Amino acid sequence: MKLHKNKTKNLIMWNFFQRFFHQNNPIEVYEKVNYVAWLLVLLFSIQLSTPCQAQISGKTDENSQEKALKVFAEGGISRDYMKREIRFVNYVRDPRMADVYILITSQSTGSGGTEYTITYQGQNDYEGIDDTLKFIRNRTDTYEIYRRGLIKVIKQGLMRYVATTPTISNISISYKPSIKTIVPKVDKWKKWVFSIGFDVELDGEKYEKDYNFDISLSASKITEKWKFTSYFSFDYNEDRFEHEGRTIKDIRTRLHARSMLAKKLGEHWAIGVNGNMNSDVRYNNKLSVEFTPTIEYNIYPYSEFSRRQFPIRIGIAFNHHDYYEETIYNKKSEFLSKAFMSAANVVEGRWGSVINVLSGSFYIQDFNKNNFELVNMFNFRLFKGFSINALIVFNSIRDQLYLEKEALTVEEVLLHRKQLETRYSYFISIGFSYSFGSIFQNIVNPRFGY
Amino acid sequence: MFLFKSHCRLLLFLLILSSFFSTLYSQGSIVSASDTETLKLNVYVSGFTDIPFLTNEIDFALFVSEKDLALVVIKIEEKPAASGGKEFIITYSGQKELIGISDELSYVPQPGETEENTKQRLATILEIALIKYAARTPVGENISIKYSHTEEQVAAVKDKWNYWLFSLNFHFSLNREKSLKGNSLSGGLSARRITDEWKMRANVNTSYDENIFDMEEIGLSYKNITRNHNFNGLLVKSISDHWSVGAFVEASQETYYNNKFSFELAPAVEYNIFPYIESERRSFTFLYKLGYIYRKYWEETIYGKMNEGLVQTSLRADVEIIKTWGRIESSLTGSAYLKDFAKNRLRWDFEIGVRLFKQLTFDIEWRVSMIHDQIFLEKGGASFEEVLLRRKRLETRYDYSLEFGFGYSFGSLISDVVNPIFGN
Repeated sequence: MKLHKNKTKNLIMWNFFQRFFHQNNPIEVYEKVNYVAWLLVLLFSIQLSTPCQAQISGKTDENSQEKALKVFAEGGISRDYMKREIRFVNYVRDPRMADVYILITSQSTGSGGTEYTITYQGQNDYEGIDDTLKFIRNRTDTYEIYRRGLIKVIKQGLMRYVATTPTISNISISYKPSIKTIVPKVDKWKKWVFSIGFDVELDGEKYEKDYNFDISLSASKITEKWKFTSYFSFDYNEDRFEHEGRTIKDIRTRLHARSMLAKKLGEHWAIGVNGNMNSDVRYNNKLSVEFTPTIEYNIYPYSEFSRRQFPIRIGIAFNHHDYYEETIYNKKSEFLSKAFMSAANVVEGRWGSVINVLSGSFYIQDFNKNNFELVNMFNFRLFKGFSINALIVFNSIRDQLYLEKEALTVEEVLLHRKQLETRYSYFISIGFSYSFGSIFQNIVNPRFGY
Repeated sequence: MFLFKSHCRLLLFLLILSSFFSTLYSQGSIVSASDTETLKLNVYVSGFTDIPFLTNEIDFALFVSEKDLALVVIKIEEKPAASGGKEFIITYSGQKELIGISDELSYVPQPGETEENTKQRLATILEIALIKYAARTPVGENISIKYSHTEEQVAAVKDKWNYWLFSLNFHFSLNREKSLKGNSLSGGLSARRITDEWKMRANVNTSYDENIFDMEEIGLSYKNITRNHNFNGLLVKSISDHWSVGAFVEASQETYYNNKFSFELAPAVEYNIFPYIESERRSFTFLYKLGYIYRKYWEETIYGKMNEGLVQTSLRADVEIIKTWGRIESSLTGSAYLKDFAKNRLRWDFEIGVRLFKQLTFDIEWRVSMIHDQIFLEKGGASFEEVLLRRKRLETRYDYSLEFGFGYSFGSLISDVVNPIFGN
């Protein structure tokens, strides 16, 4: 019966699709447009056909833009901004169509800023011509300062490729030497960084009100060898619903504090200890205190972390729990130790990106109380214009020691206020997208909104 | 207090001193050799005799006479080219902190090119390919690259598709737990053609979403289904740097707004106080829309309607400014039904994020709506589950949201160390 219902829904959906198709008749429109386009291209090619040269020729071209470098860039910066600021290249919609593929990845720096790594990968006539540049955004840099600085570096890195295109004759380079002498940097803070944040959010309408505030503090000191970070946050969230004279109040408070001290041992190994303190109504957690020594092995060298990473971690968590309500195992509090292992593989490139995470844990007191999780996330650009993406999560749950003895109310379930009892949870999401048509995407037209 | 005063005096003194020196410097006579050295890229060239010419052409480089002093070593070799004539091979290699960064380019002069022309071309290539080295040193910060072009030139680039781009997407997901089940399905098609003159866009999207709660032990069994179908189209013609005209068209079906079917066609006109070309930095637009709307409802409305046709007029003002100190965005929209002007709505969205002092940031964002046009509301109201799951739009005459926050950080600003152990 249910299946049958779904089928009818799908049918309705398809009818809907078809209706709009017929109304618009895009195929007819498209064919006409295409015919005209072909004529135009023919005319253009007669006018402008000159043999393509990989070497730099002394000749300048009238319409150099036609032969400008084809670029595909992703990550780190708004595409529209880049199109407005860098006009001496042509933008294409798929990395396979580009002469240069630019990937921008980022990592945080010791002083709370961001280091952007700009990787240039030459293709077609530029095969083998690769480059990597860096740009640092200070933590005090506003959006505008950061995007101006980053675009400048991206532009400079493109020059090597542009040197062999006709566009070069329209490019001028100017140098404005600054007067300031370079002073040796003295860091009176000895690499320590502190921050404080405070946020308030209020929403309301006649029958529903929502209040939220949170505060966070952090302190860190990061050097080549050592890493010390600590973080504290508290947030309060209150939702009120009114229904037929009845008010339902949903309050959730969360406390989270963690601190870590770690040391790097060469290009692949690191050891560290973590201290954690948590409190969360959803997990019946009044207060948990945890101490975790961990060892990490990264399959790739740490220096390649922004492009690819595969850290494997093994450790033991010693943990004391205080519960709000008595648990199904008749506990109000308990001391537990848990052994855990995790492996995470993250790789990104012209072909797409992959994230794989496998993690598992068990309680040393009772091996049968365990948890295993597999997360797979990928986005593959299979061929020009076509990409497939998926998120797959499998979780086997045998360690819900925190579950409350008392039955939950309907409100608690519908509002997702309490975690429910289950022995498994899985999530599968698959999508694809395909685009075809014009390869050039040079134009930014902001009229009537983007 | 005293401390503060003395600091002020010191600051003032330094300010006067620095302005004095900067005037001296800007006259260009007192720049010492050691200062400029630190701010230029040291380059050693072999195979190119006219070094003064290069010095004049390439501002950011300092041509040194010994290899050991250079960060970049360039070798220019002349070889007979395969096609007859000659070919220049230019090899670059980095030294010291730029070690390992090497490059090779070649240049073939055109037949009949004068010596003088060839020299000029070679200098240009030397300069262009040196930029990637300069970009790795503080020198790069002072180099700017300009491109002389016309908007028409950039826009003229097209292929056989004549700017048309089509895409389709499909998405499916499911999740399972002991007492929870969810399935969702969505798909979409889009076609667009965007040029500086015209903007055409059409999208069809459809989605189906179901969530099932099943907990017999507490007597809860509930299925929540959401279905949305939407078609929207946009056509805009550019009139000038400040004006545009066009039309919106939309057809949709939704659960949340009691919308069984709705269709809207709205011609519109837009004026931008700033030229559109500056939109990535600042824009201030006014959009006026006059639309015909036809609606069909799932359930009878509080006004006893199952369907109706209406004319709505609306005016929207949008500001967006991005500066080095922060950004501001604001949007004000007013709309009313022509048949009954009292059925209206006013909405104001505002957002600002600024850096107050070097390390202190402040953000505030709000939305306020006065709502007097909820003509779609169901007579029957909503059930308890529908309220908690936010399944239906509820009656209200207002709607607000306020968000603000401070961020303050202090401490080291010059540590560029990246240490990825145990994650970032």
